[in-house]
Amino acid sequence: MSMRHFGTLFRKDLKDYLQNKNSLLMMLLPLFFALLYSVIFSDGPEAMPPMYLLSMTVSMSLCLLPTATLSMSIAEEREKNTLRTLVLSGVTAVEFLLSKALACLVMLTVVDTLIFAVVGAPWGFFPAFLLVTTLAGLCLEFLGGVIGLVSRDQMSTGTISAPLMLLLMIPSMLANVNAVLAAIARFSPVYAALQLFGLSSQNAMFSADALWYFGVLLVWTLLSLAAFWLVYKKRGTDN
Amino acid sequence: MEHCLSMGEVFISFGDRPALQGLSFDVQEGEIFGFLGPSGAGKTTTIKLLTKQLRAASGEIEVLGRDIGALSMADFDQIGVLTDSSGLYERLSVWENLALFADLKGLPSSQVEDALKAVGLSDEKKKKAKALSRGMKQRLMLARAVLHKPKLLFLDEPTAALDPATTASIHKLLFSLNREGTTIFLTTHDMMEADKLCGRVAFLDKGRIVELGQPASLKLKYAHDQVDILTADGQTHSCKKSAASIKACLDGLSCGVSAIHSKEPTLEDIFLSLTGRELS
Repeated sequence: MSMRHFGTLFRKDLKDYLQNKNSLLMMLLPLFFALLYSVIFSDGPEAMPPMYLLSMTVSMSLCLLPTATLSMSIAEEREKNTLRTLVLSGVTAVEFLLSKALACLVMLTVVDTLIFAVVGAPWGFFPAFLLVTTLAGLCLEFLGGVIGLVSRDQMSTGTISAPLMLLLMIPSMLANVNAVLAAIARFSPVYAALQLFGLSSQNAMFSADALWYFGVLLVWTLLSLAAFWLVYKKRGTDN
Repeated sequence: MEHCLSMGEVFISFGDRPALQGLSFDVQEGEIFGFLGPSGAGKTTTIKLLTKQLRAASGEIEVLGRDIGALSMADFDQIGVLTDSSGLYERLSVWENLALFADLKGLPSSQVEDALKAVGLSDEKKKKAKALSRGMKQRLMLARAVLHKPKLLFLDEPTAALDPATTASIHKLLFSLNREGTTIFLTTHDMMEADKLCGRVAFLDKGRIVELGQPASLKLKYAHDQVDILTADGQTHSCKKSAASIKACLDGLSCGVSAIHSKEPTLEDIFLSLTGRELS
C-alpha cells in the first residue's frame, strides 16, 4: 500500500464528505435529534437519563453514517467513473476502501463525540464509548462498502441501505419489549454496541456478556470484510 | 524500434457474442497508431484489454514490453488513459481535479500548471468541474491523462462529439506529446482524424483487423488506376495512371490544363470496399 496514495485519497474523501449535502445531512441528523431529545427529555416527568439518550442517538449515527454515507460515496465514484480513473492511475482496492472508511470513521467519531457532549453523558465513560463506537462503525462500514459496490448508482444505495438500517435499528430499539426481537437483537452489531455501552458503565467490560458482544462485532466485521473483498474482486474488471 | 505494445491471437466474447476474434498487431515506440472502425467493432474492448479493465479469454498481450498479467499498479505511472468512461470529480475545481492526481503520482504543482496551459484551461482553474462545457471537460480529462508525461497514451475516441476548434487543439497537443516521445494508441471512427494523426492505422470490423498500414500506403494500394485531368473549359478527362496514357490524353487536349488529380480513395472508401460497411 502506498502511503502517498492513501494520504491523498483520505484528504480528498474527508473534504468530499463535508462538501456533499447528502453526507452532511446524515451527519447532522443524529446530532439534531440529540439536541432535541436533550431539551425535551432533560427534566420533568418525562426526563430520561443521558445514557438512554446516548443509546437512542448513537444507534442512529451508527446506522446512518457507515451504511448510507459510505455506500453513497462509493456508488457515486462508480457512477461517475472516478473509481475507474483512480484504478487506472494505480490506486489499489485497499487504498481506495481504507481512505473512505477512515474518513467516514473520523466523521462518525466527531459526530458521536458531539452527541456525547450534547446529551451530557459522564466523561469517565468516554474512552469505552469511543472504543465501542469505533469497532461498531468499522463493522458497519464494510457493509456500507458492499452496498456501494453492488448498487447501480447513488439513488439505488437507499433501496438496499434503508431496509438494512431498519433491520439493524428496530430489534435494537424494541429488544426490551419483545423476547423474539431480543433474541434476534443479540446478533445485531448495533445492539451489541448499545449493550457494551451499558456494560462499560457498570465496569463489566470483561464479563461473559461483554465478550459475546465483542465477538458479535468481530464476526460481523470479518464477514462484511470478506463480502466486500469478494464483491470487489468480482466487479474489479468489466468481464 | 521496439514494440511498445502487442496483441497476439486475442479472443474475447461477451456471452455468445464474440467481441475480438484472433486480434494480432503491434505498436512501435513513438508511433501514433489508430484503430479505425464503426461502433461495436471492438475498439473500446481492445483498449480495455490493454489497460487490464478486461481479461482476454485467450491470446497474448504485452504492454511496455511485459505480459499484461505482470503489469503492476506502478506500471500505470508510465501509462495515460482517456476513455469515454473516464470521470471527473464534479464538486472539485479544475485545479483540484488535476492536483489530486498530481498528488497521487507525487508530481509538483508546476506540472499541473503546465498541463492546464497545454489544454488551454489556465483561466478556468477555479471553476468547478460540473460547470464546464463538454469540450472543456474532455480537455481537462486529457490534461489529467498526460499530466505525468506518460510513455504510452491510450485514447478512446478523444474528440467524439467535440466542436472543430476543440478537436484541432487536442490534435495539436497530441502531436506535441508524440514529438516528445509519447506513443499514442487511439481509437476513432473519424477517418479524417485517423488520416491526420496516425502513422499507421488498423481497420477493425467485427473483432478482426481487415487491413493495416500507413494511411498514404493504403490509399495507394486501393487507389483506382485512374487520373482526372481538369481543363480550362471545365471539362474532366479521365485516363489510365500511366505516363504514356497521361501524355496521350494531354496531347489530345484543345485547351489548357487547370489541374491533374489521381483518384485516391479516402480511408472510409477503403473500409467500405473491404467490409461493405460504413465507418459511422
